[in-house]
Amino acid sequence: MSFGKLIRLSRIIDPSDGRSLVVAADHGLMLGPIKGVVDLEATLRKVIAGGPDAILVSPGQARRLSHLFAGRSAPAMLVRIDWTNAFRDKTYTLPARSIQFNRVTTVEEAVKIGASGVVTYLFLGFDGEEDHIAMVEEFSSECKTWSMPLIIEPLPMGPRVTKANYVDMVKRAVEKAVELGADALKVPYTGDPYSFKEVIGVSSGVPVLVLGGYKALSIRDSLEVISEVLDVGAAGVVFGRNVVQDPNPDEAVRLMRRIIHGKETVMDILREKIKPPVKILIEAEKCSGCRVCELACSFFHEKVFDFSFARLRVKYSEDGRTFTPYACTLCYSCVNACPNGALRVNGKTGAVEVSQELCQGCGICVDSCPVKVLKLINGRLLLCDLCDGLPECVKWCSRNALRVEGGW
Amino acid sequence: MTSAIRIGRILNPTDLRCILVDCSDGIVFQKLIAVDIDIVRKLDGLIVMDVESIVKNKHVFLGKRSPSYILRVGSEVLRSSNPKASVEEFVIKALQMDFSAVISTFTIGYEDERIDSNSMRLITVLSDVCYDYGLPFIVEAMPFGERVSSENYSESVGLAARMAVEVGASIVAVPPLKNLEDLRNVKDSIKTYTLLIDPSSKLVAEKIQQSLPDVLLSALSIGLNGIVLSSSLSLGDPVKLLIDVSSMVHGRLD
Amino acid sequence: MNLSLSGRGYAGGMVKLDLSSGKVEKVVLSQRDALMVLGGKGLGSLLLYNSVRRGVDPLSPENPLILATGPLTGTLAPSSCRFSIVTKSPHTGLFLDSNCGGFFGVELKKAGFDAAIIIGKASQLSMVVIDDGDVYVEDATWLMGLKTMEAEKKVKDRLGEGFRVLTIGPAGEESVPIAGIFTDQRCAGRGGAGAVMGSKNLKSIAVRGEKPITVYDPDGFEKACWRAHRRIRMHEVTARSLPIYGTVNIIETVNEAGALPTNNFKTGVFQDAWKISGYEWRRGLWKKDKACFGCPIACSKLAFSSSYVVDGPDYETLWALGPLCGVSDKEAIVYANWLCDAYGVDTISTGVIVSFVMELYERKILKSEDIDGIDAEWGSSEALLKLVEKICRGDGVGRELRLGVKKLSVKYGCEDVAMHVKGLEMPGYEPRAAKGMGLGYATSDRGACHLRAYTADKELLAYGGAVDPVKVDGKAKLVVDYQNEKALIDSTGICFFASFALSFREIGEMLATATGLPLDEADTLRTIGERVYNLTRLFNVREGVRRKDDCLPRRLLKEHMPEGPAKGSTVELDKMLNEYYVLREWDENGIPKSETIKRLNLDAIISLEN
Repeated sequence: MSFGKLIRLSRIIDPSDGRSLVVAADHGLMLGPIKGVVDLEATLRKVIAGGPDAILVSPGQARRLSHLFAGRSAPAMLVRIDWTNAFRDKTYTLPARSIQFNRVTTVEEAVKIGASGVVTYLFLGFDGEEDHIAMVEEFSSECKTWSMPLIIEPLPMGPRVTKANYVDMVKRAVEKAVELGADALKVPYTGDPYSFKEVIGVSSGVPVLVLGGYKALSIRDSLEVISEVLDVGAAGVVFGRNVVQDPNPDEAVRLMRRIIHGKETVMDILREKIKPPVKILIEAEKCSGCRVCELACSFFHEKVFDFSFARLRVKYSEDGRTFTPYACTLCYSCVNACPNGALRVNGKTGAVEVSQELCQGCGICVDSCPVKVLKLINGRLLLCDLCDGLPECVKWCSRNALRVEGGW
Repeated sequence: MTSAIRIGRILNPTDLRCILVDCSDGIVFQKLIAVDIDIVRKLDGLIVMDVESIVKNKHVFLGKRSPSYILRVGSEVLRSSNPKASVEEFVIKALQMDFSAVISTFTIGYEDERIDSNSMRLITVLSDVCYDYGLPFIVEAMPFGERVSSENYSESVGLAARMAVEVGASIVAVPPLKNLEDLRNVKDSIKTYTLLIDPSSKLVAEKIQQSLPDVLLSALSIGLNGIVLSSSLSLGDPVKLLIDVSSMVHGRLD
Repeated sequence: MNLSLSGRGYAGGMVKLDLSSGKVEKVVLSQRDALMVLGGKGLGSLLLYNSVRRGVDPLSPENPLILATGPLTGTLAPSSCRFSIVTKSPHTGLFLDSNCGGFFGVELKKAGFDAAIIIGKASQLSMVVIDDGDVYVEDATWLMGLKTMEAEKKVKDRLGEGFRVLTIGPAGEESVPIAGIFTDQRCAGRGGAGAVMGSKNLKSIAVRGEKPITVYDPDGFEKACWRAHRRIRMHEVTARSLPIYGTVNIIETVNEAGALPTNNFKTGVFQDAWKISGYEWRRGLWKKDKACFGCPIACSKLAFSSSYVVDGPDYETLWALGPLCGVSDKEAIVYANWLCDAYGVDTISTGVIVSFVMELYERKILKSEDIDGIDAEWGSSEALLKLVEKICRGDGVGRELRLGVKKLSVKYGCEDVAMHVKGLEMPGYEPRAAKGMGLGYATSDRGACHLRAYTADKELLAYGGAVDPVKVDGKAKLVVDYQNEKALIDSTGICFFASFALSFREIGEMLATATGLPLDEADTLRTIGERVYNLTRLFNVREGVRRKDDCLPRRLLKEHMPEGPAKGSTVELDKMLNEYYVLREWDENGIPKSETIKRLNLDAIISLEN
């Protein structure tokens, strides 16, 4: 690798650990003023406070906002050098009818601005593939001339992509990108670490950064994805919406840094917020009645799928118009009602615990529960243990109908 | 347009200050690295004459927080048949290797005014090309020659510095002056980032009596942005000097 | 070596009930069958193919009603509510599978059955009760004539807590060919499955199960399911479009592409589409998001009125009772939706019938005296409601209208604009503005269906890379791929919408960890899908389907689109069909070649008589 590429790449990927946290903020060029990038400068100031290694912007914003990138502790600048309509699906104005792409600037321009790298898409799976590859070849040649690191974003895109061949298409696109001279790759997560390991396997040592895509429901989801891909050899991430659309972009970046550079685990971070009492808050208007919470509870505790083993419940109203989850409220009525002293409070989480030896199976506690979530099945008392501080029901609820107060 | 990013690699945006070390003779660089590589990595910039020393010691320059490196260009480029193309080659090479700026000396004060004129030609060509390519251009304004004396020194410095700005320098470096007021006047007429040249430098025509720390402190107090060290590093313990200078310029060893 | 599938996602067994004799038989589900066709649509098709002879009367006791769950039904896999109802359609005389959500399928598996096969005919209106392994038949004459939601409620009240109920409406009781089967406000609407149930004198099927569902590798399965849920929560369609706007979220986009069939497919542009956008519904009649069992998406929306709750309208219903007839009156559409649900008929077929009547009225072939005094003007919500009511109740002209547009066009002419394929009324995407959908309609295994090959994904909605909707190049391959993949999804037990966000690797991991069977390879799953699609084709071929039946109404082939982005276009079906047969490795008449059958090992599981 040429000297210039080596030095510039080291401004993006930290040479001390070979990892990088890049925040993408170029959505405006492809998707228009989406949430989070409307006032780009304000958002980026917050992002920068969190300490990303680099930020990806389009050429116009690069020039306008280059002052944000000044200074050696500022993030490195990556410039997007191509444009496409391919991501404007029906959820955007003027959705694409056929895949188009274009260059938007030259590598020389990016050098002049002071960028440390340039980023381009590479689509595989549609009829204009040959032309797209030709354009990326041009970029690659310019990057070679200017010793500018080329980051290629290989993506399966178009009618030849099916569910069956998706992973293979990602691999083939990665291979093509490497062939075209990528110095780093921005790759979609295939969903599970095993298939992703195969993708890393064909990257020939070129650093793989995983893209974030649409914003996750909770930051916990994106932290998990980061952790998973790092475990199988990714060098880091390029997250856009998961950062810029977070209500607190600086905090989001900080948490991601802890996983990427701090080598902490997701569990380390989640456990920080556990302090008693771990109260489950319920917003019934958001509940859709899917009962995934009950399934998750039943499976987590008993390894089977059966609502009767769940320690919480969802009630459908008579008229079918409302669904109401009921979960342990930590009222401790059961603790007080137990005549055998078999129930006590766990100090770490505030959950109720049962001593099987002292429990006589009388069922008085079941009757005392105001929300009726205690169950006595075959003489065994089932009750909510708050899953050691990280309730499964809260984790699996896709509606945010269940939350932990002050927690995740 | 000049890249704010490149300027930012030299001048720390939080305090707009910098310490540059002129390693154009090569020896200083090797000596420093041998003694204490960490302190080298904490500098703001190193000036070199040839790219080899950078390439050979690339481990010093990896990562975001590493020092910037600046390419010194001399009048040899003017000897080619197409000076602009020659300069362009230099600048492109600098950009390929991620240099953060180009530096050149402007002299004025020779009896043979053609020498002054050549010096001016050099910095105009450099300034134009650097601007085109977004590369910051640093000019050391050094009155030198038979016509320069202690009586007209501060005015000559003012003249040379202002000419550099008019031509398009992004940063100007000036030698220390006996009278602080004179230095303040020079700075006010420059309006862009201003650095102090090492008092022990060979090209400083009028030597002053004060010690380096005193000179530096007064310069910083009137708003100069930092210093370009060269010969002083050979006069004693360079590491101690750098630590002292750093605490003066940045307030601590960054 | 046949390891039991019990406890590995599957219940491990099926139940066969003969309503004529009352005999109940329990049948083991073999591992071989599971590996070949998985469950759901695949299993149902296999059972159907092997249990009937060619030409069986769909309304006869011999035609089985098959309810088949998939290995993932009832688990933590996302949207794992699905089961398939498979039978021979009384509407088309061909293969029918109807995929349904809600909670019934899960309960069936918990009762110990991956599938239920019901044959015969009860002597009077009856109800089948499956109470955790116990299967018996009860009198249901007291439910006669009740609307679907009423019948369901009464059955639940009578049997007690925990029962899930399939039921037909009055239309099903009369074996109306467009009658569907309803449960928990979801339905298996298309093709007349309700009529089959009615022909068996079966009003309801109630099930309650107490067996927990278990999997082969709990830890591995849980991780795979969590990743799948997480994917769905990170995908624009499944995390935003569907949850907020339901399936209606695409109405304006489809219209903008000139593909929203309006006025009986005369054009693909509806001027008032904005009045019925997802945004309008969200801020108006919709009051609640509702999910099926285990679903993180919750695409259903409940519309409240003072007297009823309607789950909907969803895209197809909204379109069929709306733009197709030129109607944009939301209140009317919701009420029409409720009527269809209550009486138990397919909203798509109903809407297409109404729009056909409106066209006949416009051409003065039908006058208002012919249709009980109704002025069937385009866009008249009054006419819509009156006609829908007649079709639902079978009053007056409704009696013959409810037989479907194919039969109507035989009587009244205008076959060119009777919008159906193989007798099944056509759904809401204009083939001239989305040619892949056209090919999909023509080659779908149950008649005109938008789901078998939902190429609209790429042709109109630009998900995963836009494809020019009006070009025909490459459409045949697109349709083949989509058909194979959908057939696989329908055999797993998870919902189509959940699959939007998932690749076959991710689905394979859930299947493999649930069952312990070698189902993790994407290609294995693709092959299963292809096998199932060929299986259903062979069923239809056995019933006489040939190339001439893989057709489209002449309106789409000869009338040029009058406006919109697809202005001037017609569907070049022949060209696409030729390519399609080649890719499918079928002969020019659309019959799977023997090499294809062998390659897919179909000869091992079905007996072929030609």
